[in-house]
Amino acid sequence: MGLTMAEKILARAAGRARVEPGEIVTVEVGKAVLIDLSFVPTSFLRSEILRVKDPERVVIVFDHIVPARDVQSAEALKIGREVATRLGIRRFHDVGPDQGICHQIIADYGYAVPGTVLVCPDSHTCSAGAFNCAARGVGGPEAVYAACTGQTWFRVAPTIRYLLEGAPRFAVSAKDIFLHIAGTWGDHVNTNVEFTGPYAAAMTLDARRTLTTMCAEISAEFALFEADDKTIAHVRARTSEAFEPVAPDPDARYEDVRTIDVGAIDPMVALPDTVVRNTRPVAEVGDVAIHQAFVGSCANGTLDDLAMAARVVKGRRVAPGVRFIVTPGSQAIYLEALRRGLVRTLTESGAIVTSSTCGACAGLHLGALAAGEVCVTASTRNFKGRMGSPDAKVFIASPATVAASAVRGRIVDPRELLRRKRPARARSASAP
Amino acid sequence: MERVLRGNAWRFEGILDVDWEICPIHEMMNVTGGFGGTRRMSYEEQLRVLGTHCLTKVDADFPKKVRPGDFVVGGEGTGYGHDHDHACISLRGAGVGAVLCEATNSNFKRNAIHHGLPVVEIKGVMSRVKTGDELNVDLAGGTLKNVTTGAVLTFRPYPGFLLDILDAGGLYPQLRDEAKSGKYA
Repeated sequence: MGLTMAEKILARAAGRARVEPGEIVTVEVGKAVLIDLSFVPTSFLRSEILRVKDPERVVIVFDHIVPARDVQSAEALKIGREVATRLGIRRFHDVGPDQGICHQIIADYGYAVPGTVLVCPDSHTCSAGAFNCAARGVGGPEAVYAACTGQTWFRVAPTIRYLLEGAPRFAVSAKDIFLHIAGTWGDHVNTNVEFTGPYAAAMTLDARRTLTTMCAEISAEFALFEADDKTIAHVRARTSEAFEPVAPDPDARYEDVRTIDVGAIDPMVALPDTVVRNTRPVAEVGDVAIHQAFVGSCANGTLDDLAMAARVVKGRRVAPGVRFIVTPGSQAIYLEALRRGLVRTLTESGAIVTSSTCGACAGLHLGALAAGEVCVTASTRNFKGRMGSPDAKVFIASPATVAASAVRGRIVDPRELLRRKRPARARSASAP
Repeated sequence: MERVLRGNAWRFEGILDVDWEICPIHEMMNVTGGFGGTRRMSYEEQLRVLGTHCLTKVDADFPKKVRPGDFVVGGEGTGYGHDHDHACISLRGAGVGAVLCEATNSNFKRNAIHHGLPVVEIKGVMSRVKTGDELNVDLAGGTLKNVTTGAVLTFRPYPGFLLDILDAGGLYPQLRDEAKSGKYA
């Protein structure tokens, strides 16, 4: 019997020929990524740990509470800087040009290495599965432990395979495909997810990462894509580490294999409080007026996401009474969005473009919601209280749907706005 | 930690969501100052405060009634939901010695073990145990004995390295012991 991708990576990291679902295995951790919240003033790392197994395998990214929102956050960041220096950690992303949301940084700096294990004390770490890396969120103590010892443990889970076929309809993105999955099949507790098929191969790395990042919301263990030429070229350009991707065996054992015609999916929305069996096409949501719209987070802060938001609002105004907040996934994306005129387009429309942070997605130090307010967001989570008051309502959608809703002041199908645009003039063949 | 745990059962049906039934998330936010909170509070203080909210959504007096070392027994939705580990602190703070359930998820199981709280999946536990039964649970041997009824159930035993984490009282205490012995100096 063959092995799935997750089984192969865990077997390799455990130094074994094979592993079986249900087994508990100790594995070598390729990268342990710590975040600013790892350094709260009571942190263990503050004084007791003077050495980690291999500083080259530890990454520190400041993202949740930057720039410091209060004195206690400032103390945490200060401790983080001291620890990075003391432990000799070179891969340190402090406030500045190479800072960003940790999962965007993990992707953009090649920390997600195909065929290896990565852990980080943030739920959306499964994001790095887009790069054929068995990555998942772990508790705060466990991330510190993995950094110190270079090891952790996993219970091997069975795998569900998704075959993505067809071509998406106009204005339908990876976020909509995820919301379709979450609405149709619900939770994937104690289960790995594999994405394969012709459309999986056609997706950009960023779009793949939107899909794997969101798998935290259906409680998947690992969410993995195969490594193709795109993946390998991306990682090779960013790391000198040797790596060997894994592919599922043809006779791998799956708990289920599900085929999705992505061409049959319309723009989708998750209703408030959970994405699990709680999504529907935007046309069926009814008339929902909004107070806030948000595009950002580790799931939707990519350049493509910002470009889509800018395309929708270009030449239009954000509706009166609506705050439209846009947060790039990293400062590098911010800079590129600036170069391409996206920040200007967004700002002219009335949107606010912030520095890169987990901020509004987690109701942290900006963009929090008051009781009774309604938000439509292209971010990760919508459980009660996620973005501020537990009495606020949070709908989840794609960047296109969110931007269109910001313009209309109510949740709308983005095709309503995008289709009204005049078609672009044909470019000459020699144009760049 | 004793490897044979002894205590009485408290049986709960239905979903036990970490953010609601086990310990409402807003109680954790009050403790830490919100998601991503950085408010200083010692671990002991967190145990005490969160322990007073443990399972009160399903049994308002549970924190007063439960005795140190007692077991929470649950169904397939035990520890449902997010990766928030305050629920594990709450259970420990209330004095719960272990959670015995039909099934759980990795987030809850991992967080619990790392906080020094065994979570054991035992098929049939809900049908063979009722509230008040006296139980013996052998983590290394993989057996649950219902002393009250005589019923015996088996489960996949914990591997040695997880027992070591539980013995130390959780990952941080283990790391602290190792740090004291000079492992990370």
